[in-house]
This record gives sequence, C-alpha cells and structure tokens, in this order.
Amino acid sequence: MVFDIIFFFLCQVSLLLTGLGVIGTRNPIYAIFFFILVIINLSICLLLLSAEFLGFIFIVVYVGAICILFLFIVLLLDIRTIELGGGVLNYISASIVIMVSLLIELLLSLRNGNYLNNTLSNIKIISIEQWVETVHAIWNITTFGEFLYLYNFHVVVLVSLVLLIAMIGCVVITLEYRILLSSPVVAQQISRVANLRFLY
Amino acid sequence: MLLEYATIGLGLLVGGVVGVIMFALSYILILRNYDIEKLTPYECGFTTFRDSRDLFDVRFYLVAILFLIFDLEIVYLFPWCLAFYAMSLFGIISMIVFLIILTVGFVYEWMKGALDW
Repeated sequence: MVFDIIFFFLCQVSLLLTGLGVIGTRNPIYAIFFFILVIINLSICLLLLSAEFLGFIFIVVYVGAICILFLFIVLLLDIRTIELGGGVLNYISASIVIMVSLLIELLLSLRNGNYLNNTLSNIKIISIEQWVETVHAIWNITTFGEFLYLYNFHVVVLVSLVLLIAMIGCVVITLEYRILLSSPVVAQQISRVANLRFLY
Repeated sequence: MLLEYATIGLGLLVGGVVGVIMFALSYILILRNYDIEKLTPYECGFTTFRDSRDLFDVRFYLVAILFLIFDLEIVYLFPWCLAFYAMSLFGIISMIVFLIILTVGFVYEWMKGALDW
C-alpha cells in the first residue's frame, strides 16, 4: 500500500515535469511528444485512483486522436516565419486567467460537491464487507455502461447527433471545391491492369 | 491496486527490454561507414527544392477529423460491451439507434466523396 502511494506521487511528479516540458520546449513536435507523456502519466494516476474509464478514455482520445490533430496543426503552421519561443511572459496573462477560473471551479465543486451523494442516496447502508464486495464486483466502466444505456439513453442519442453534426460540418466546410477536381474511376483503373501491356 | 496492473507492467518491461536489446544489437554489430553525403538533404534523387514545412491539402486534415469522430464512437461502444451482461433488449436497441445515426453520417461522407482520393 505504501508502494502504491509512492508510485502515485512519482507519477504526479513526472506529470508536473512533463507538463513543464510542454511549455518549455521550443520545438513544437517535442511539445506534442511531451503532451503524450503528460496524458500517459495522467491516465496512470487515474488508474491508480480506480477511475479506469477516464484513464482509458484519456489515452484513446488524447493520445489517439487529439495528438494527431495537433501534429496536423503544427504541420499547417508556417513555422519558418513565426519566431518561436517568445518566452513564458507572452502567455502569462492568459494562463493566469485560466488558472484562476479553474481554481474557482474547483472550489465551487468542492463546496456543493454532493451531486454523487444525491444520486446514490436511495441505496441502503451496508456493512463494510458487503461494500468491498460490491465495489470490487462492479467495475467502473460497467457502471458507466449501465448508467448510459439502461437509464440515460437520451444522452447517448444526443451524443450521436452531435457527432453527426460534426461529421457533416467538417465535410461541408472542407469539400466544396472538390466538384472541380476529377476523381478517377477505381474499377476502370483496376481493369486497365488486366491488359498486361508491360509483359509483352 | 498496483499489483493488479502487474501483468501490464511486466509486459511493458519485457517490451521495453526487447526493444532496447534489438536497438543496441543493431547499433553495435552493424558496420558503419560515415559519409558526408549521407547527411545531405535528399529528395527522390534531387537536392531539396525548398523547406519541408509547406502548405498541403486540407483533405489530409479532414481524414484526421473523421478519424477523431469515429474514435469518439469507440468511447461509447466500450462501456456498452462491458455492461452487456446486464442489458435487456432495450440496451441493445439503444446501441443500434446510436450506430444508425452515426452510419447516416458515414454514408453522407461516402456519397459526398470525402473518403475518395
């Protein structure tokens, strides 16, 4: 148990160090790799807090998808003309605003943070052995699944509609000029191979 | 809690050790000929025309965004699979509705030609 806590704090220290690496490097590609390390450390911390769903989702979404988007953004930037590494002083006002707002949000959620207690208030009080059995029997992700698909189905439908809007939106925004381009007919190209022109 | 992840940690350790061993063997055993020509920029037989950071087509980025959306779909499939034992027909139907709505978007992309090259 002591080793758990030591490992947890080691992960948090490396989380802070890699977070400093994100804003400390001048090369944006290195910053993205540091960001991947931040997310991996964060998911290890969440796994140790037995919030498995959030840990896996952070890896899937951030490392799998958001980092690819960041790589594309870095490629899209015209790095040659932008002078990188202007120092932390350029960002410090915006970062103070974000930090204060996050702190206020944290304090508010600590003040009236009994949302979970309200939702779980109709569960009867059980002994500690039963509680340990229940907690170990029901996994975190399983609880999310039952909560979403059995009791809160409308949320899932809303999420799918949001994803549909995102798909249609990015297709509409980016694909307008595609009408001018001629796209090859795939079947025609494959059938041209059968002529065996290069063999004779 | 940490011991439950011991197998994953063991796998990570073995994978890292195997990777380090393979890299070290190829670093030690291979004969290396140093040449200044190997360090020059090279592009299909020509010297490079300009910098590699350049504008490119937005369709590459579109593929990334569409991948992101289907990646988020996996997020919602994953707890459904693990809560499958507790579900009645309603849970299965709710997942089918979810997938149908996303398939409508996929068919739209396909018909619009967002996946063509």
